[in-house]
Amino acid sequence: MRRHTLPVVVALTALVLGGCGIPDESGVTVIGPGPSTGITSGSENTPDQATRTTTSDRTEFVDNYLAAAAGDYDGALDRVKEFMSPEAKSTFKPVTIPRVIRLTEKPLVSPSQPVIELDYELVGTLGRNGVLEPPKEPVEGTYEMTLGTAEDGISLYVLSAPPFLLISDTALNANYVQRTIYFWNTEHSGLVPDVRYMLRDLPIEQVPTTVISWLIEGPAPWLKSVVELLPEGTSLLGKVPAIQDQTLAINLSAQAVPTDNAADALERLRRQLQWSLRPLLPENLALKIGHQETKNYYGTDFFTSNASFRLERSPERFAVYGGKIVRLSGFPHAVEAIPAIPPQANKDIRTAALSTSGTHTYAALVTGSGRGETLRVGATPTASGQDATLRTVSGLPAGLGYPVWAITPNRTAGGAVGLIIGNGGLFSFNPEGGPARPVQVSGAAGKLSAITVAPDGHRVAIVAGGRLYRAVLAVSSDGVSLSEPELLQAPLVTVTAAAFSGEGWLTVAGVGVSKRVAVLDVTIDGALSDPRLDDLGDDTVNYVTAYPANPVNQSPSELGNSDSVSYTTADAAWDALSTAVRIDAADLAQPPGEQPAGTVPTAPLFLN
Amino acid sequence: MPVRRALRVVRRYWRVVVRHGKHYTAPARRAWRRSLHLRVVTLTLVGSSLLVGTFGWFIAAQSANILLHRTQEEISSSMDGKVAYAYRQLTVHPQARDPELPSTINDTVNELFDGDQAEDGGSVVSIRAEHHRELPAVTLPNVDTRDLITPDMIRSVAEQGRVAQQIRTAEVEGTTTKYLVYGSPVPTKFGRVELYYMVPLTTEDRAADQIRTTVLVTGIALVILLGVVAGLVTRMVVTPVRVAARTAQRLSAGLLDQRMKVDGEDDLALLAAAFNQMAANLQRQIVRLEEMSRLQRRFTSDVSHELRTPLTTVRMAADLIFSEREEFDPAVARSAELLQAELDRFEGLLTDLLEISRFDAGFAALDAEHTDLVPIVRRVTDRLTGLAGRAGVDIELRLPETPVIAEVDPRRVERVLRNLVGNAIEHAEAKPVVVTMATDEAAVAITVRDHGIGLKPGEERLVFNRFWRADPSRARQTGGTGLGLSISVEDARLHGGWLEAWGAPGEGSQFRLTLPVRAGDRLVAAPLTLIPRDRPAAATGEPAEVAG
Repeated sequence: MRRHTLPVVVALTALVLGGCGIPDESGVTVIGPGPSTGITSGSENTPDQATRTTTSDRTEFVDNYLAAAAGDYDGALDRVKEFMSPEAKSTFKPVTIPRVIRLTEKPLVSPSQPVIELDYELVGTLGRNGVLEPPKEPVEGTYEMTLGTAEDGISLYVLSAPPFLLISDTALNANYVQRTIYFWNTEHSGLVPDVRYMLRDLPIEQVPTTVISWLIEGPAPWLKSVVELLPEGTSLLGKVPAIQDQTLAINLSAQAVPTDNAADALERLRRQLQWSLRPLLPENLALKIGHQETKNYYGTDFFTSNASFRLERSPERFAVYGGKIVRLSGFPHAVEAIPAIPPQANKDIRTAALSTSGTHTYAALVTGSGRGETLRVGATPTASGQDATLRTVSGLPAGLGYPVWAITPNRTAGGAVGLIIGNGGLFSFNPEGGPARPVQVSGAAGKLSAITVAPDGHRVAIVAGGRLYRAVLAVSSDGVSLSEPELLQAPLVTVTAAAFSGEGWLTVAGVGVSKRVAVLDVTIDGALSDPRLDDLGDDTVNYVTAYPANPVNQSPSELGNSDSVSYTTADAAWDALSTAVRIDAADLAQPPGEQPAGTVPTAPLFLN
Repeated sequence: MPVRRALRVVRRYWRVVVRHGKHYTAPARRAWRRSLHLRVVTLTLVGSSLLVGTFGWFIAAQSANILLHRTQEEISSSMDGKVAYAYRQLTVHPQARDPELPSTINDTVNELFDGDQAEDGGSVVSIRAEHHRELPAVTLPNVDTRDLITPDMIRSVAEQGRVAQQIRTAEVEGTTTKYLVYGSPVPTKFGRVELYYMVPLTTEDRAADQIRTTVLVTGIALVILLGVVAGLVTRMVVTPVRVAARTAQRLSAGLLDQRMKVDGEDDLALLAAAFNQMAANLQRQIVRLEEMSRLQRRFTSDVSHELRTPLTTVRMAADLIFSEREEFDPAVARSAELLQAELDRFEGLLTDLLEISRFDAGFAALDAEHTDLVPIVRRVTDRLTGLAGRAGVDIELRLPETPVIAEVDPRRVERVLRNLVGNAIEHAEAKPVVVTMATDEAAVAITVRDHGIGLKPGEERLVFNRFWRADPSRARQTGGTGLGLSISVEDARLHGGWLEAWGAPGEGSQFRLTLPVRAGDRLVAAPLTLIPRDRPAAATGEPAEVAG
């Protein structure tokens, strides 16, 4: 018995001392099965971006090289370098921000000629945040790159290249999609679109995160003066998870909503988010600010925050015929009276602009000719059905262009602003008439020949000296002011007219490289273009008007530019359909009485 | 096997310790046997230690379990939230090769990390992708988790897709901390990653330690208290018992007036009262018996004294008649002689009775002096030569050559020897009587051996009784009074010596007188054996001793 005492004592002591308390080590305890695995939305295919060895055809190789920088922003340099010979790689020290160029001429490629000259014009630089920023000055020139054959004798190398990450406009078009995000204007009256370029192969799950990060980073530089940034310190907490149960859940930091007027700010924020995420927005947006309670937003009530939403699928159309404004047949309300314009005033009209806000209808008429030119303006509540009282705007020079209504506020007619070009200068007027105010346009060389204002009321495109510019219109207590215009590199030699065609598109008319007059759509940054009418001969287009596309009605395959474009040449008004179709008297709904022979409808306009 | 060797060494030391322990605990064990108090207290301590220990252990273990369980539940629910969050965040990436994925994982870990770093180490969050080796493991704070996330854990979580937990103790950032490691797979569109959440159990561990300490201290205090209480209670019981024992001891030592104190009316008081009653009864009985005995002795003494005076007168008259017997007719003369002889016997009897009563009264005093015993023996045998001659008995003396000096009362020794030799001659049946003497450092022994009828078994003690007679029908030849051996025993006892008898029917008998050489010394052994060496072999009969 005695010999067993020791182990028993040891065991007992160990039990007593070690038995209670939390053990130092334990085995693995399985608690239960893990959550079930999710289903992948993407396919396993790798992006089909071309690499150096994809082709040994020199033309394709150059095209591929000019597309290499397109794609994941941080990997651009590596992808470009991959095309280079080892020596070229080591010496290639480019500017980090990629340049988007448009080749003005097809490069001449021949195997015997290792050096390839690329004639280009600089469209802009493409930032990480998808902003394509046009250059301050127009840049045109020739890049030289040298190709060589690799050791294998088949594949090609870039032996030397300009020290830039280059993206051709075609590569931009192929690899990116336009994506509009929105910022509130400083008056909080509406959202201002900001067009960005998003990678085409970005997984759909990452789109919300990317969009929100863009919103947080702020608007494109040219919009900064008229839009409101998200509050300082706003940040996305985590990523935006993929849509689940028709819900998109976003968690922003507490700073996203300022403490004063929080309810309004939150309302604005959610509308901004809803618009920015709109194409993929599910039924429900679950927005959580900091650690506050999650707010769920259903439905489409946010649409009203964007003025473009009010645009009809099929606009009311008018034309001036024999000094009178008449409706075009085959369009809505074709048999009704002309809105806002009293019948007795509907005479001797040369050009006109009609616009509506949610509550009011605005009219601006240029009557007379030569020294008798007069601008008469007025506004009336739409619901009353009354005609507006037209008042004359004084102080305008002779040689008035087409008036446009830039800002048409809701509820009250006061504060509405119209713009008109007079003798190459820009003037602003308001619906109460009175003296016109000149608007300073600095930095645009040459006389103004066209102005167009986007439905948001802030983005403006002007044509001056045959060039296309964009600018923003800011409203201040002493009228309106125009920011310094930015030159856009439209693929035209001379631009004669422009009109907003959609949130990210302008319809421009001018003379192309081939010296032929063309009407085409360009993006708001001038980078991409969509041809409308390639060749109108040499019949100069002096005016273009378009009824901008409503982004809500837009299908994903559409670019988002207008279906309704009209223009005028010296002697006629035309519709830009698949070909140019002249607007004849037969197209008018109720042509007024007998007119002299040869009278044609002019100055087509839309009820904006 | 080094383990076995070590065990052997340990066992050897254990045995040494046990042996030493035995040696050193001997007083304790003696105390254990003797003290009821100690036993009760010790048993209480051991018993309560076991009970309190068991309950304490149970409570501490249960508390630790509860603490751990609660933490586990907390972490589990927190973990569910984390997994859901990580799942939602990672839904953004349909492909594992997405270059943004590592940054998302990084951000997710960053978000999941609690951040509240306590001073004793905070929680650790880690996301790993066992199935996507190209994805780096992200851990925040960036510590080495190899000790925390075991291969077993990885197997359970990554391969079997289970939610699992484990407790690990590892050194993290220089401090050794106990962690509860929780692992769960996070489903993603590209497969599965694993989320590990490691929460330090420092607080729970400390709480468990505090509970354990509290239970331990409380338990020890309780045990000590119980021991003290047991000690006090036992003392309440044991003290009266001890008092009773002491009182009983005193009573048995002859202090008959000892009594116990009676306190209250409880069982102990009852015991004390009963004890006291018993003692009182005993005392009364003893005193009565003593009184009776004293009265008897007094009566004997008084009768003897009272008889002496008339006897003296009768003696004088008888002496006169005896001296004048020549002048009487022969029948009268014969009566005168008879009278004379009976008067001698009567006188002797009276003397012996007086002697006995002196012994009984405790007046007998030893008049010890250094005396040579050899002459005394010779004198006695010489004086009895006549008697021996008449009985036809030869007396053989076996005495030492040298004088045997002892501190004795010669008168009493002579009386004893005379008694013994006389008796021997009387019962010798004409066979020789041997008187032997021997001495050593401490004692002198004298044996008187006869070969007469001997003694029946049991008679060895009876012979020393007063007025005892082996065969009551036999007449006395030597005129013995029946008190001789009684007086001899008293004499021997007075010396601190022994007088013993041995006898066997038909083998005769032997008496042995043993005396210490120095008066007052305690006898240990006698120089002569009681059972004679010349007795026939295999004779029965046990020696009887009458201790002095």
